[in-house]
Amino acid sequence: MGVLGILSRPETSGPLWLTLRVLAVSGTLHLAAGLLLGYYLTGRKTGVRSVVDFLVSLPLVFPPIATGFVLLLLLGRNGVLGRLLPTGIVFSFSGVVLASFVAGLPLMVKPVEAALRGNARQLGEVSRMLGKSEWQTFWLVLLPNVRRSVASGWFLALGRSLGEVGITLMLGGNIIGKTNTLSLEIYNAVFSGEFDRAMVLSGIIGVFSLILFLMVRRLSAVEE
Amino acid sequence: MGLVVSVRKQLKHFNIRMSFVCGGGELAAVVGPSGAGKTTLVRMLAGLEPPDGGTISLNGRIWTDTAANYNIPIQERGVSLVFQEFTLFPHMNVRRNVAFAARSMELAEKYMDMFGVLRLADRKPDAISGGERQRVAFCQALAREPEVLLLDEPFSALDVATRRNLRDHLKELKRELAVPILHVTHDLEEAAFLGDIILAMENGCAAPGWFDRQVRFFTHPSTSAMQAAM
Repeated sequence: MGVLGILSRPETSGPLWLTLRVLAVSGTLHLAAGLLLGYYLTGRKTGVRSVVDFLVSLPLVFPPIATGFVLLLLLGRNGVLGRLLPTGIVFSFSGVVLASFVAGLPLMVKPVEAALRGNARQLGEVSRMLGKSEWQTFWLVLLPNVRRSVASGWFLALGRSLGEVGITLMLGGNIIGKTNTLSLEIYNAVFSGEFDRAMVLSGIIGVFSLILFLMVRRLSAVEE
Repeated sequence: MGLVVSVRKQLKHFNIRMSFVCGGGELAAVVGPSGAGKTTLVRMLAGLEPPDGGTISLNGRIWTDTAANYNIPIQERGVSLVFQEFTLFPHMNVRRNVAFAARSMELAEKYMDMFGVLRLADRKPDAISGGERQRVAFCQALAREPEVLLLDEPFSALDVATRRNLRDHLKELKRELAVPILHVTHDLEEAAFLGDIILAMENGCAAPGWFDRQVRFFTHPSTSAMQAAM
């Protein structure tokens, strides 16, 4: 079966569309939360800020499968947080989005935070002294000056979300036709001996990753 | 009345303890060796750093009173601060930079004309020279119509001719603005030329004799002879 034939099969196209939907939602969340958290973390050091910083950075150093397990314990039907939620998150589309969001968040927040701590900090001081509120300063001065870092961080976060497996496996459950993203479907294809399909799925992820890499590289070149 | 300051702040190696009054239309030249706490003093006045103790008030209106845990936000202080380094907004052209906090475009253009940068109005900060950028920074600070003008070594990165030119401008503007001006500088001649008050600082505290000692040092015959021999 050719590449087009493999792509037209529902077990290939299904994970592809699921992954695109997940990226659309988690990418939007990354932008909003990344900007807010990046800005928040540049404030004066407090206990709460240190905890937030730790939690945001944790997925960078903690194994994804273990992160997923902790989230499963917290958000599961009988989990401390899961009990409080009106609808279940785990083993659903929301669970996959959350996994994707958590995995990519530090790659979005950290570049934004670093950029805001640089020259932008003094520009923010000038803006506030010139009478602008915190929000005006953020939108009129800080954001336009860190937009390239925001874009770089966003593309990196998308790339990380695209390749996410460990947390997604725990929170999504790899349910065929429901929560099996592209990355998980590669594992499923290999496990069932469909190497051709695994190759095509890997190729799709490869093309996405290449596009993201080129975008990040272009942004870095413009910055230089 | 005017700017009344009595503050203290613990720094790593010493405490800042400064008290002074600077009236409207007066310029206080803040001088002293590097690391004396001059910039921290200015930042406390601007509201960028909180003092550990003391009060700051302008024309009877309290800005900071640590005993009452009262500190008005930066935005409400009506302070303009021109930094040593160029801090124009890089994504805005000169006109937008100056008009950023101006009550009207006319006011912004008045200062741009006064400082000779009106012809650069459509250029971005990275497309003009260092001296021009600092002129624009002055326009931006003045267009806000500040109640207090703070200058943290604004001329230190400029060539002698530009520095003299801006210095003369400031001297003329001083009376017209009629607001307290604090001007941090390492240039003693500049301090003497512009300053109605000399605030000499050493290790965070007022050092009344420091300025005279420095002036004597630089004008002492043996110093002049040494400098001439170098």
